[in-house]
Amino acid sequence: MKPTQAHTDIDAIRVRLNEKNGPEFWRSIDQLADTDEFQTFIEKEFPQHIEELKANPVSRRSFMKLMGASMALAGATACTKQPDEKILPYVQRPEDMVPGIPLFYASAYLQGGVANGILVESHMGRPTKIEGNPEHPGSLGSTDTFTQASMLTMYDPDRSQSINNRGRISTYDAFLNELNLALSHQAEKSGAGLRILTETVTSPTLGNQLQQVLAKYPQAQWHQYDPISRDNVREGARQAFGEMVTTQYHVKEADVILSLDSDFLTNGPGAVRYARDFASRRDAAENIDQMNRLYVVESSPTLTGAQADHLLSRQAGQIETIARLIGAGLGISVAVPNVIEESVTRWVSAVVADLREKGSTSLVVAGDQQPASVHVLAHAINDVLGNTGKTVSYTASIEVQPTNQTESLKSLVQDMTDGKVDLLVVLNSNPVYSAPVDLNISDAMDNVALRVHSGLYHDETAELSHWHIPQAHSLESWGDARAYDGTLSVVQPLIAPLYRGKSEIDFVSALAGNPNKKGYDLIREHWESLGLNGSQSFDAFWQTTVHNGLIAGSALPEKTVQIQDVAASVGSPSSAGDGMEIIFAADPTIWDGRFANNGWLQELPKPLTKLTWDNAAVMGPGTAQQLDVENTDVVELTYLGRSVTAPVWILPGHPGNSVTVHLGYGRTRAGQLGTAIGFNAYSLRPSDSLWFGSGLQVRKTGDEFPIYSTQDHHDMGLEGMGSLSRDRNLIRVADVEEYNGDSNLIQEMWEEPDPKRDMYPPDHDYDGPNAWGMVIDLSKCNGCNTCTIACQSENNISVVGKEEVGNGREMHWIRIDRYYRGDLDSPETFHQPVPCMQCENAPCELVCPVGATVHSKEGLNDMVYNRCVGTRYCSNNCPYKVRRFNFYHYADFETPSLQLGRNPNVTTRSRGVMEKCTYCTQRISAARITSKKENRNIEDGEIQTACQQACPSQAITFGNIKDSNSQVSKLKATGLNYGLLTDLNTKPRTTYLGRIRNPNPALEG
Amino acid sequence: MLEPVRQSYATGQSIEWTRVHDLPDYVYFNHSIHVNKGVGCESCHGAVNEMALMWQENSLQMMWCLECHRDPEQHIRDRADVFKFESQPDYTPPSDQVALGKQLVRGYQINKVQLDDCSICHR
Repeated sequence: MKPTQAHTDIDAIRVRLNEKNGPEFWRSIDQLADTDEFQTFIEKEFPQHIEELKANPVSRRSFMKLMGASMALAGATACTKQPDEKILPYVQRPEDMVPGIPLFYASAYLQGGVANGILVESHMGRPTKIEGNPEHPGSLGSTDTFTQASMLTMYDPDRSQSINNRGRISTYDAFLNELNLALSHQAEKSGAGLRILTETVTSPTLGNQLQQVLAKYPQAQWHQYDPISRDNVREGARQAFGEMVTTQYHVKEADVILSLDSDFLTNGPGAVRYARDFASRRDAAENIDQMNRLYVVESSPTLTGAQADHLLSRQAGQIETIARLIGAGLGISVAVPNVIEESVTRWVSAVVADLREKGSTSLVVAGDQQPASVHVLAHAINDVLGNTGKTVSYTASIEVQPTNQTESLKSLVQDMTDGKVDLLVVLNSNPVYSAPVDLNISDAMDNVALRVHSGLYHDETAELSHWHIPQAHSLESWGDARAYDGTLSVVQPLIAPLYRGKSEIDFVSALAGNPNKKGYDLIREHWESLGLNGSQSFDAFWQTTVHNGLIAGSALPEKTVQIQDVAASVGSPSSAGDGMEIIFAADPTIWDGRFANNGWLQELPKPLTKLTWDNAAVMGPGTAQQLDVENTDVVELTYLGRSVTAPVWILPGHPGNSVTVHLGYGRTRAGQLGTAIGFNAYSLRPSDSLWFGSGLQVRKTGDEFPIYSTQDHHDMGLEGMGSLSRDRNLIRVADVEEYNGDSNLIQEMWEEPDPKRDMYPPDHDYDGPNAWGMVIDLSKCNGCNTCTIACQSENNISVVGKEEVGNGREMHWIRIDRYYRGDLDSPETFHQPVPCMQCENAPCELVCPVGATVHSKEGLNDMVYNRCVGTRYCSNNCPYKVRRFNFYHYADFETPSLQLGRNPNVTTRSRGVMEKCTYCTQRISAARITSKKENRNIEDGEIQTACQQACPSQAITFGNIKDSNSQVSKLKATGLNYGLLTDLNTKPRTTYLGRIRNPNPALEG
Repeated sequence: MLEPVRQSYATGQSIEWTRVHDLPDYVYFNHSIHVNKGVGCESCHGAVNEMALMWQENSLQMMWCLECHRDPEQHIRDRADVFKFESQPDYTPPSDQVALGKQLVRGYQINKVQLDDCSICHR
């Protein structure tokens, strides 16, 4: 929301929260402060409307011109025949392609080099939607936000479209000429001046190509560097076991999980799978006895922390202490500090007791950003509890060459500075932007005679390179990679490279001296050489594998490991630095900055802060009070002598004396959307404290910078309405014990209307075989926002930009509302996805003057765009605030590449039209037509809405409520099922299952 | 007469047909379900077998579509007769269309009640 003018009195808010009739669930500090500005904001659904008109006054003359133009257009096209369209049939129709019917191809999406299997929906040769591959172990059919958004990156008009040679467009042949000349010089000195920099590589074929280059130039070196570094993970494994093994978690087997600052449900290899497995053990509706328990210690609020039954927030530097205490409590001989807080002791002993009790069905996970010692402790604790082989297992590294990447990069920069590097090839990496600032890589680049860059964008690194070769996107390339468990996955192209980009293996093949080899052949040859086809003919094996997207059974075998001397590797506890801590975190939607130009991800509200289009210096309320700053105040952050200015954002639950900054912003060459947005946190990030450090200085500058969060938008709670406000019981939560004692507990938390007292006869009869309904399980939802972006992809939802988000006009059809409960400094967090409720007694249908929203016989609230004239009365009347209006012409109808990526089965809305969630009516129609042609009923599970299909936790269930055997009917019949605002008699078809927590009785109270 | 087709095959260039039956983009029309449920070619496209050059016989306006959607008994044929024309000897229209229509609508499980929902055609 727009910044409040009045000073926010945090102490007064704390008092109000502790009052007996203080609000139980709250969404933001502004809401609690209940300033006049906030009340005005809430009263007007689209608050800044008047302000905007005042700010941009239109003169009479320009008004008439604008109106005149549109009237002329209106007159010309009304009531005449539409322009002629042509039909162009295929002369040679591609096999299986029927225009209008999509084909699905299996491929993989790589994050940090690790593959998640995907199925890509392709309409007439254009990929339009990404889903998970149900057969892939990395995801079991779900996706995450980056996977969904990667499609937009492929169609991004700002992608580099031509080969760039020192500022001029050039050809691949010209590049090869210069490259081969440089390589021939290198051959003379066995490649001593050749350096290749990539990100983490798990691809066997790419690894093989790189090894071929290194074999040809024995003194050349290959460096890997991923700014979201997993060095600590690798180093921890090496110290614990003597080699850099890959750790795999079997979250489904765990009864108790302890996370030491690990956001394992949303970040890291295997996150999608872990989220699914975790949610399967949070199934209160059907498997409540199996419910697991999650303890989280975190240094910055994360979604994994939000799911925790018990959460301890501490500075990142203090988490090692907690790990030591837990290790010592379980009998591992490890040094512990002398002075420990009482609250920590109590917490630790309860956790230790619980872990010990659960023995080999417990699991300890250490966060990627915690130092290697914490990982060693986690490995040791898992070992002592007997978890090895049960909830955690180890395999040979899934990476081709696991190494300490930061050291590798340092040595590369040293070589560059010393003038030892003649030819630097940077592949799919942006070190000039994201390398640690103390290495000063841009200066080092000057010493390299020939610098070549291959990437999706002409970014900061390309700017400093002599040659830039556009890279083919993963949806345009052949490739392979390993999943989190080592499963070999295929990357298959869905479309020929839009801009003649080169895939990674094509490009490295050119380095190896074979520029004309195609990726397709390279992979086939390598796989055949590895004998992956076994006794089968290679072609048959290839067909099956490319069809499935993976080689079944190719997960790496479990490796027996021996834990080494823990006390020796972990040493004695370092004294925690004094002073304020700075935490560097991967941005939840922009990651390390590679998605800066992706409009969907920029606009996707970041989990917990709900910020869009910006990053901020995130801190807790206590720290903000200490510094006397409020939201949007600009502060100067100084760390190790380097400074950057950043707006403040207060996040309840953030540990005190600590500030989190997110990487990925402040870019100088990201494309039209991503450049010059936010501040560059990399400018503070040194190589020896990549993730956190002590000694941050924060100085209030007195400036303000508007940043917009969606946390108060679309408020259903009436909190700002003065005397009208009351708790509307939108979130219902109970403990397992309470719920087992009284299964009516959830439903009795609020008054349900008695159908007998309904004065009106049912408006609609549902005569057909289907009546659609949806259930969202709040115990499973972890707030990752994948549903939001999947919906955006499926339904051609527009991006509105920062200003409009500030006005509350973001267009997401499903939103995740985030509620807090408890005190400001350590609240519990609850997430609630809110799509259209498809009310049986819809308040929106009654008020539309033109009948643009009508009720279908299957229970859907249909939105008819061509009738809508834009009165917005429907949105006014909707108590759930799920309707979205196109105030401006948000959709981009001009850019050709963006048109390619749209779903042809959904209208792309123009200005002046209301839109909302339709339960993916296009998918319902498609299934209905298919089933009718086959003379059968639609089976349960045949229709999956986009949000349901994408959700990593499978929290959303959709189906036919007339069929009592359907999953959705079974869930609606449980005692957990409740609707929102049912006292308004809207009869929503979308209902929720209350959240059940599983706290440890020893820690409660 | 088939020279344009031969040309197209030889050169690989598609023939550019001018579309005669074209609905606006906000209508999502599925042809296959109509064919599968017993709507004859003739019902919508007219006596195509007698058109030297194709023309649009019916208005294709929404009201025209709704007439059949609301009352399919008036127009539904047996699936086997979908591709046949009245002017040809192999097909004679039934004497009691409505009776046959009612039977077919039941047999083909055409859910009349649903057919005039807006979301059937508009998304």
